[in-house]
Amino acid sequence: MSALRRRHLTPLHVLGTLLLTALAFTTLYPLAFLLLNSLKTQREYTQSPYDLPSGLNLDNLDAFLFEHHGWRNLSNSVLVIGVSVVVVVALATLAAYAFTKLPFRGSQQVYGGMVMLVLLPSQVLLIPLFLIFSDLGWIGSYRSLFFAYVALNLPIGIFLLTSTMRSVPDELLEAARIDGAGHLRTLLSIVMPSAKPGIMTFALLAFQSMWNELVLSLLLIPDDQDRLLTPAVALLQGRFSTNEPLLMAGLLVATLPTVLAVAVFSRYLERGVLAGLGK
Amino acid sequence: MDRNGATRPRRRRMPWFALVAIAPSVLIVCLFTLLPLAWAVRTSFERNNGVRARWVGLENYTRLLGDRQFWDILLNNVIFLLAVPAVLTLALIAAALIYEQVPGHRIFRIVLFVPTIVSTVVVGILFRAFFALDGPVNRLVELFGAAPVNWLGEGSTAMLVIISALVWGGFGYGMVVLLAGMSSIDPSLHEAAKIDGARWSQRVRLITLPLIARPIRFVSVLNVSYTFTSLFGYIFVMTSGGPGFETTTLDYFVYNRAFVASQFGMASALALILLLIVLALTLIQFRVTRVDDGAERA
Repeated sequence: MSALRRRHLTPLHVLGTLLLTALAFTTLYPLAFLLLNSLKTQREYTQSPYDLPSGLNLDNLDAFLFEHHGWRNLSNSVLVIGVSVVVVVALATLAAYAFTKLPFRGSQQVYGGMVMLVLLPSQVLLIPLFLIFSDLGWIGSYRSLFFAYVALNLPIGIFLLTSTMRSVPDELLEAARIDGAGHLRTLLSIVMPSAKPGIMTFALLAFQSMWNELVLSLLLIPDDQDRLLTPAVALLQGRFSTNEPLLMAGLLVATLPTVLAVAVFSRYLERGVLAGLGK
Repeated sequence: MDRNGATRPRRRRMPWFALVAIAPSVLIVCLFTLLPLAWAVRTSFERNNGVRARWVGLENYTRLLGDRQFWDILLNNVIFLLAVPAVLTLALIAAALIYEQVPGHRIFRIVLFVPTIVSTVVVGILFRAFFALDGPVNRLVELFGAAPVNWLGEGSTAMLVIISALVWGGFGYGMVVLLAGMSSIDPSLHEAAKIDGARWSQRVRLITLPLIARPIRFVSVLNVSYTFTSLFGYIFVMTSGGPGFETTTLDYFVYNRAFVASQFGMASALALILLLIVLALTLIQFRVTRVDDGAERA
């Protein structure tokens, strides 16, 4: 069908392609700009931000990573966000399994309460979390960010995974039970493989929302070396707004992990994206 | 089961595994979401500088609602809502063209999604660099013989730059959601309309649009609440709310009151007003766009 369509190009196809090409240019150009200018010296950038860099100059990248502790910020992010994503995915999976496959009195109410929290903006929690963590002496400790990130992402995760697991047929679970499998076994070897696209999509969305998060990570971890990457880059621009190439190198380092994550998870993305989160 | 009809509903006991599976999530949500929410309500009734707190009742709310600045900032948020129709229009056009399988549609689908995965801080700094006084955009302006524009130095142009950044970073996600909605439309509907000689614009208007009402509503609700709650990253790196308070949004103002001015009580009241606004806007959008397409509700 599509092969047949493609043979006679209608004006719509020509105009449509032109339009999308223009749009694609606007989406790709800023990223190309980022990449190219991170390879320039400051003088090259001032002379012309459009020209190609004179060579493969990795000084900016090196300076960002090792003089401005970008490497440490990157490792902090990978560590804190990695652990938080694994924990939030595990907890949401367990809870969704109980809500769909082990209903009990009151489980619908608990589920309903969880789902309502999806609408809660994080600004509302910002001040109390800061005050509570100050009282506990957790400011500067990754514990504070970990619990905040897990709590903020749990409701949407439980919502997404519950709707995914509803479509796992009960007969499969029954068969596993007859074979003598316990709940954990059933969850791991029957339910999770069937719900994999949903679980992977949620993992990616949780990763993205944590990688993107600025205000909590800015306030809860005040030390420059201990900071996560996103707040470190946000502050970098206040200090080095005149050194654009260095800034671009920082932006590049902050963007690559998300590109990598999307590339790895993209084949699961299609099916789960409808109910997901934006930025 | 009881055989003699005089049944009492059987109490379903909570399976122990369900308890173990749900308890950690419930505990974390109670401690780090519900407790802070209650805490925020209490703080909003206090004059609180982070060290000392004194109960002042509704004073924070009355002072806020009587303050010109609060309404100016709310107006800023309303202006930023201009990004929502822009996101929807771009997302819809791109999705409809890709659905039509124009040449290169597979590549466009990926390329147009790319900005979505770039974080707000990166998008913000990138746009700031583009629109800097001696930045690339002004070089183009000068090329055409005009005087360079101080894009981020003026309230109105700074808003324009922030809205562009919002649209750039947001339309790709909308496009993917709308495409997913379109993929569930029966293709024979479009084929039949084509045979009857319907033009593309007619097909989009009369077939596609009504059938993707729910995904459109989803994208719209998401973007509206996003405009009220998630601009912090953009504002922080692009304008810090300035010049003056001309690009300050409610969510940025919460941060500003609490962590720049140390008025935690005022900031909490502001955050709770923000919560009410988001809830109200979500409800209104669901009411206004109520669609009965026979699909089961999520």
